[in-house]
Amino acid sequence: MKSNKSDQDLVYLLADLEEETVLEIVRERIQTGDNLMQILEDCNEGMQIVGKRYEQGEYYIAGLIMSGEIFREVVEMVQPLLVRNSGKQSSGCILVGTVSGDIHDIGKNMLGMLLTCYGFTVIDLGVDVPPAEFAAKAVESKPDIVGLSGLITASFEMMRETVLGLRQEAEKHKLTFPILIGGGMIDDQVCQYVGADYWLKDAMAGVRLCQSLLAERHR
Amino acid sequence: MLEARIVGADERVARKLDIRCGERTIYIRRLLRTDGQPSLYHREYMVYDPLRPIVEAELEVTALQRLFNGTGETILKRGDIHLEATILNEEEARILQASQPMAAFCFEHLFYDFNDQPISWGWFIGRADCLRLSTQVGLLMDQKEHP
Repeated sequence: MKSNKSDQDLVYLLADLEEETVLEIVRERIQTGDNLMQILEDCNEGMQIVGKRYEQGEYYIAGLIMSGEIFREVVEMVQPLLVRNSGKQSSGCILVGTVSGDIHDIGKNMLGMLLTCYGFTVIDLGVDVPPAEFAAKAVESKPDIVGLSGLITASFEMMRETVLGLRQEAEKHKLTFPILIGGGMIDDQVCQYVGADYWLKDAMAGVRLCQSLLAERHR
Repeated sequence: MLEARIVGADERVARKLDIRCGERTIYIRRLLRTDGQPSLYHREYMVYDPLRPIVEAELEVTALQRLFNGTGETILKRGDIHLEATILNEEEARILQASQPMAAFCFEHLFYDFNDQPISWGWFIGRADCLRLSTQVGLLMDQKEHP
C-alpha cells in the first residue's frame, strides 16, 4: 500500500526533473500494486509545477522538454498495464489526426497515449490528413468525439475546412459527435473561427474533457 | 517544431559537443516555411541544462537570418558555420516536399558559450531551388543612418 509521502515524492521528483528516480519510483509503485491512475495524476501534478517554474523563469524550454520526456516514459510504462487491466470495455471512441498541411504530432500522440491509458479507443489518422479522409473515417467508425490537431497558424484554415466537412457528413449520416481542436496556438478565438465545439492546449485537459463529454452523453 | 527530445549523445555528437558518450542532449527537428512552403529542415543537438536558456538562444540565433548577421540577445559567444552542397536523402525530400534526386544546401553550425565550450551542433538542409543567398558589399544604401 502506498503512502501519501510517496505520492508527494513522485510529484516533486518529476518537478525537479529527476528522470531516473521518477522511473524507479513508478516501477516500485507498479510492483506494489498501486493505483495506476494515481501514478499518472501525480506525474501530471509534477508537470503542472514544471509549467509554473517555467512561467516564473526558474526553468527554460530544456526543462519543459525534459518533463515531457519523463511523462512520456511514465505513460509508456503504465499504458500497457492499464489496457490489460481494463479488459475490453472501452470508455468511448475518439478519432484524432493532424490536419492537412501540418505534420506536427507531439501533442496529438501524447493525447492519444493518455486517452488509451484512460480506457478510450483511439483511432489515429496520423498527420497531414485531408478533410475528406477525416470525414470518411468519421462516417465509417462513428466516433464519440473527433479531435483535430494543428500547430502552425496556417492549419487554422484547414481545420475550418475539415470541421465543415465533418459537420456535413455527420448531418448526412445522422451522426453526432463534438469536435475538439488542439495545438499550441489555439485559443477561444481560433475555436470560434474554425467552428469547433471545444479547444484545448494540453493533453491531460483533453482527457478530462473527453471524460466529461462522454459522461454527459451516457447520462 | 517536429520533434524535441532528450537523447544520449552518440560518439559523433559527443565529439562535436565535447561531452561524454551517453550524456544527455536535447535533440530538435523543425521545419521552417517560406510563404507557407517548406524551405529549410533543421536538426540540432544541444547540451542539456534545464537552468540555462540554451534552447531559447538557439531558436533565436538559428532563425538563419540571425545566423549570419549575429543580432539578438544570446548566451552564445561565437560559432563556426560551414556551407556545402549536398543531395536530399529520402527523409529530407519527404519533409521538404521535394522529388529525388535534388540538389540542396547544408549549413552546419557549431556554437560555443562564453566559457568556449561547445553548446550546440546542428545543420539546416534547404532545397537548392528555393534558397538564394544574397549579401551587399561596399557602401550601404541607407547612408542617412550612417552619416
